[in-house]
Amino acid sequence: MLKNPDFNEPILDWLNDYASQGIVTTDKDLIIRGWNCWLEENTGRSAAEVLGRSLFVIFPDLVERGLDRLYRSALEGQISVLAQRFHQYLTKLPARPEFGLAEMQQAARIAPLVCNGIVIGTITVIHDVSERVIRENELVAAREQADKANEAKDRFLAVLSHDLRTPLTSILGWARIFRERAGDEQIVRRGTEIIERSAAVQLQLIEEILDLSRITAAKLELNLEPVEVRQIVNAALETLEPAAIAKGITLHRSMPDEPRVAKLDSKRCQQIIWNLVSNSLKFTPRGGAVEATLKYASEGFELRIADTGKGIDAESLPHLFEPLWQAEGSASDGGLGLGLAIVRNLVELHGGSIHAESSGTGQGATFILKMPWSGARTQAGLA
Amino acid sequence: MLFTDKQRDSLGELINIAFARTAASLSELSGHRVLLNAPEVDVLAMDELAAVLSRSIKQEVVTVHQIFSGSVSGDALLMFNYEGAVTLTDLLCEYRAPSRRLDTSAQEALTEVGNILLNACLGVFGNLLHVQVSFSMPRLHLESLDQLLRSITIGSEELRYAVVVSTAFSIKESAVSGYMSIVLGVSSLDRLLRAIEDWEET
Repeated sequence: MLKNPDFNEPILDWLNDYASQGIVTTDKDLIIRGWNCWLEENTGRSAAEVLGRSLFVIFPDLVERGLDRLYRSALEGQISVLAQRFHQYLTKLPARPEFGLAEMQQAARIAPLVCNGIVIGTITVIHDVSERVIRENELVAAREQADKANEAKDRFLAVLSHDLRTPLTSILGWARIFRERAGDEQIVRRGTEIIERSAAVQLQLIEEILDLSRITAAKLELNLEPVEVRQIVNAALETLEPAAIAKGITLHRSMPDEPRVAKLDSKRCQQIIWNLVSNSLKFTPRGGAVEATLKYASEGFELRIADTGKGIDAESLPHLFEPLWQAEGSASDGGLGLGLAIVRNLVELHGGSIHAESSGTGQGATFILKMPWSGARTQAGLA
Repeated sequence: MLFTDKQRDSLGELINIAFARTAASLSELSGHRVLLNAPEVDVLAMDELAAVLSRSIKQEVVTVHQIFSGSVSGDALLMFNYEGAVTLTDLLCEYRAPSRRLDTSAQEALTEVGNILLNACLGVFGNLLHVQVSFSMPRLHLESLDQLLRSITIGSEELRYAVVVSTAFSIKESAVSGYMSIVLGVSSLDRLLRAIEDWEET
């Protein structure tokens, strides 16, 4: 119980000067009779300016938004609660700049002022709940992100078990054939090729998983050394030429004439380029083309890998480099969706950047890799 | 309790008027069509109330509680089980992702829902009795059913009764069940029932 004849005046003074809520009182004609310092600070209007004026003149948005009925109810003795989640605010006021909100988020209580059983006016208390709302929204977003990560992990495990089993099934099948037809040289030759290919596929999958795991645990160290950039690009492209020919895709390259040396991890740099080009080959149909263009700049070099493939829709573009992410329908093209995530992390470890551009589905895609002349180690880890 | 079928029907009719007003307010507030059914209205002694509520409220009960006073005084309550309270606020406040929990903003929103409903019901009773009823600030409580019932009965000197209304909020093909209860002393209830009889006759 706050009421005390000896303290009423000082309590009112305190509420006027220090309350962390806005308090406005009106008489029964809804003429403003009280306006505390919080309101002066947050509306920019002094008490002298508003006292004696109609509440709805000072806050015209109350009428525009139909909230004037709450004041009519208050004059009939009813109390109203105004929740931020329904209304966002009682009246439009600026939010504190650090919150980055268009308006201050508010909760409010509107109540009758009763004296000897008769309603003599109204009292409104406005709470700034902006910070709370931001915190709650962050919690919801964090939970959504965790749910998505869980779903991606489930998807990943399903793809992983399938992709690890497929080459094994082939290896096991050929081992059984060998037992029965060991003398058939043609069968053994064909089977050995398939076993080798299947084992290589599986090895690559396992290496991808281990790479990602090392990057996530920030345990991947770069072995930086001076390397000739064109050589690195050529080496990666050469390993993919047979695959391009087999698929009927033309692999162009365009490079500066003069050599330039960069300080990079050559093995990891080749892995980056190999991943980007093999990704382009994967999504480019027979008869298409993939072009690698190398350019030098003052701060580093740029490698663009452009293809005439299936392209990337605008919705997928921001997620391309997220681990375990695969566009709808692309899972059937093989792979765990780790390649581009590994690429981004390896590029960032070198202090470089990578992004993709595409005009949309069926329009091809271009991956733009920018690397510094001296690969500086940056923070590892998955974003 | 001496509560005739006719009184029950009339009370139901009055509550339906209040519920229709509430549904209209909630529809406007949420931007969705909200229907509010009051299929069952009953008057129970307080010790019977626990048995009825415990049928659907097993653990925590979320209550919007408003005390009213005047020639009729008592406690007005809107009660949900926890899941029901969360579902209702998520359905009504659709612009953000479902919270799946009752955070402070959701509690505040539910308090406003309760406030609208209880104001509408007590407003109808007030008009009926031609008296002005004063309300306390609505409060939201999260507690066990036992704690809730104890908090209502403590300090009351007279025998208390509860007008209990089973409610169902229907929004976007979902329905959330709850209870509205108006707990009155025997004298207030007697006044209310007599006023209802007068209303029937006019």
